[in-house]
Amino acid sequence: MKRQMPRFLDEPSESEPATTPVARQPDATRAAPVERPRLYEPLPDAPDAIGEDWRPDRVARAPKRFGAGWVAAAGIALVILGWLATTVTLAALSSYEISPWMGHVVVSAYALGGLLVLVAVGSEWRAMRAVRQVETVRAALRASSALTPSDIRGITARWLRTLPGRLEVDPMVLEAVQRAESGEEIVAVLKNRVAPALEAETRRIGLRVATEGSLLVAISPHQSWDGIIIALYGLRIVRQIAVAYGLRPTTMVTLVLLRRTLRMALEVAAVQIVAQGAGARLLESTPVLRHLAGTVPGLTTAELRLYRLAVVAGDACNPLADPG
Amino acid sequence: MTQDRSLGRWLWTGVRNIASGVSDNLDTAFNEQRIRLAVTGLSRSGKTVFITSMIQNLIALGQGRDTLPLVTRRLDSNGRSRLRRVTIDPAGVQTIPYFDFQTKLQALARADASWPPRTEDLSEISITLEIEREGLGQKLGARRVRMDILDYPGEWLLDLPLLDLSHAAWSEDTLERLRTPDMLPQTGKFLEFVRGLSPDGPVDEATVRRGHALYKETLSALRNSFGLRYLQPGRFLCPGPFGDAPFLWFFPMAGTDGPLPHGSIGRLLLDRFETYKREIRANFFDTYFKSFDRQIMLVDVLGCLYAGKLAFDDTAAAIHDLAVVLRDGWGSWARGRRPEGWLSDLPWPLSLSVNAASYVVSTLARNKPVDRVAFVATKADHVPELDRQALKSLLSHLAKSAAGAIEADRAKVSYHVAASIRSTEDVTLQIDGRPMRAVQGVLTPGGRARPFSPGQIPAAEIPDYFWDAAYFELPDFLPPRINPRGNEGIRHLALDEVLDAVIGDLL
Ligand SMILES: Nc1nc2c(ncn2[C@@H]2O[C@H](COP(=O)(O)OP(=O)(O)OP(=O)(O)O)[C@@H](O)[C@H]2O)c(=O)[nH]1
Ligand SMILES: [Mg+2]
Repeated sequence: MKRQMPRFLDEPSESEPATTPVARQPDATRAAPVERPRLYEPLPDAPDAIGEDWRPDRVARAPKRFGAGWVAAAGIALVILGWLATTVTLAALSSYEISPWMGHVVVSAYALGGLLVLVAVGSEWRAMRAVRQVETVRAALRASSALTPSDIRGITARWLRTLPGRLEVDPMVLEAVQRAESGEEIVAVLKNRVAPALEAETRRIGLRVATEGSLLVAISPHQSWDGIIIALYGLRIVRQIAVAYGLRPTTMVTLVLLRRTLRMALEVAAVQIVAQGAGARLLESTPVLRHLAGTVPGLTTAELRLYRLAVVAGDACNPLADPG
Repeated sequence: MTQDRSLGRWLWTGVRNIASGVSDNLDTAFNEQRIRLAVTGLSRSGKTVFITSMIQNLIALGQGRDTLPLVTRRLDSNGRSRLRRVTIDPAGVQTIPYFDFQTKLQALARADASWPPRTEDLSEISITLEIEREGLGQKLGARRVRMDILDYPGEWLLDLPLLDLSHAAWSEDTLERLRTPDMLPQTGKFLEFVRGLSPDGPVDEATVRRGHALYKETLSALRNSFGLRYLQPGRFLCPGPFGDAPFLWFFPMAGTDGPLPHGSIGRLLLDRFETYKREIRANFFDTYFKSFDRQIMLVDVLGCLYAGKLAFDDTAAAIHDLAVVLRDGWGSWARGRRPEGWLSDLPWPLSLSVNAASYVVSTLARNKPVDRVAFVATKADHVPELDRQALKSLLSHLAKSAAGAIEADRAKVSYHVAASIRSTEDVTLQIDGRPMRAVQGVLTPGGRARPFSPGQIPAAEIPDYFWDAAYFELPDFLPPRINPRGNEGIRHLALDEVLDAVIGDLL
């Protein structure tokens, strides 16, 4: 942009001719008109969008380092493991020195201990695998058109066989699944003949635990306990639901389910905030609850929350449920 | 037997959860700094756009784009940024609606881009900046700065000065303002109506409702024909969740300070006015609007300058009155509140000491005045570069009385000229053979950019002859192209300067 240079108007400048200003009495009361805001016609080279010039540079970022906490934890783990390994080895060696027989006993005791740990890890792993299976089935059913029917058949049949006790499926259903020709057909069979039982079970557990929990809340000595009672009962709900669906509620499994449940609850909540807008109270505004509050008079807030948790936890364990 | 085992596991899980809860709390105490950022401004001053652009640019910065150069410089450590990540906190179980950032961004970034609609209700969003510590502290891992930001209809802000007024005082101020000669065409009908009423007269519901309706109409007319902003009460123009509840049915009327018989109109208006004050306090100011740490005051200086003397003086008055409320520190009206709930149910000596302690704590910590205040003239993309200085000094002139009050509270005050979403670019025009500085931007979808000159902008005191010209509405340029995936941020003007002044010390 070229700068306007100061000049006397009656002297020519390089870009402009001299002008003769019209003589006028300096007048203190009437100032010159003020330059006003105005819009002009587009310039010949006017663009039809603004913002092409916005290209922010990249900033270099510090490489991610492990914090001191992790380094320390790794160190401590190394020390403990090393110490354990040397102690065990030395103990075994020294017992062989006493007598070979003694050595055998000690080594087999250690081996047995190690085996038990392995078994525990194995069972935790299997429990986790069962949880993951639920997700596999859910994904397979959702993308039923992308997979071959025989794949879906295999995945669902494997899952159906894990359903325990009360939920055990009729062999007829298994057969219907095996006979199904397409993914959609399998989904239909599951939705019509398996899902209702699963949902009923969820509701049964939910109502039972919700009533228990809210009874405790009702007799709790102080309001500040209510939160704890609800939290503990929430945990219990998740575990009971897991059992009902044939998942073994080991520590890891419980944690995973709890996280999944919370995530689902938040997703549902977010969707509903958007859908319902202003100030709606989350827990009380969900459709299931409104329905329930209508049909079961006198349901308390604590009950509603616990029940709601049960429903979401059920959804987390049930691949046929479509959360959100 | 299985029952026992599962009980044991259950307990164990419980213990672990408690442990993780404790460690979360410790983590928060050591690594997290939480501030409440007040984005304040009258209606249409650009709050919603500001929040959206600020968040988007911070997120892009967190993804390694230099969208906010001054902030980048703050975060620089040997040529590398210490900012690890910027995230929007997921919606938890808040009872306030969530500020729907994504939808607003999508609407701005679409091919047929549109500005966000008028805000109708309160909403909140929190963002977290994860920042590495410097020097030795580095080993302690990243720390977090968490900002809670509230968006609300600008009209509601003007209820703040109202909180301290009685119905009589408020009526006197309001009626006097309505009697301004230029406003009479719009306000005459209502003034006529209240003149014919006596505060001692018996209540006639139909009359009161008619008065309320007339007053509301008058407020809308003033807003629409003069661009006025200082219109109280805010809920009359933007009711929010109250809808049309009966306690809103009041209007200003002289003579409500004397003794009023039970069942008189004056009494009813007064009661409704007091209820109104109580309700907005309980549902807005006390709940969401106190204890801010930092404040950004957005002022649409250009808009009110073009809208004429009435609008300009009106905005100046609104800002001044807000400042008077702010003088004792933001949230001063919240001081001296009684502790609620179970605390007040304690037996006497205990409750007394708890009250005393909570008073001390709230005076020391919670209701402390804001540390930093930034006044921002928004929509500065309507002004070419060289004229922005004039705009800035006009802003400081406008905010002078407000700033004085705040500075007395030892807050840092700064002035900025910014555009949250810069929708124009600078050009030079040749008008009658003379070069002229201007900006150009697109006004209609599919159209080409048109140049705009903001005319002369007075830098301080405005001479009377400036107001001779007709009312002019600020052209509404369409937003620039915005990458909807958002890793490039949003084109802005001096937004980084504002952020640096307000939160720079935390980075
Ligand atoms: N060109 C330009 N226009 C802007 C900018 N910021 C805001 N605007 C314009 O100002 C209008 C109002 O902005 P909002 O952010 O909605 O204002 P607000 O303060 O949230 O208004 P209320 O919600 O009614 O209180 C927008 O619709 C835009 O037309 C900016 O940076 N540049
Ligand atoms: Mg808004």
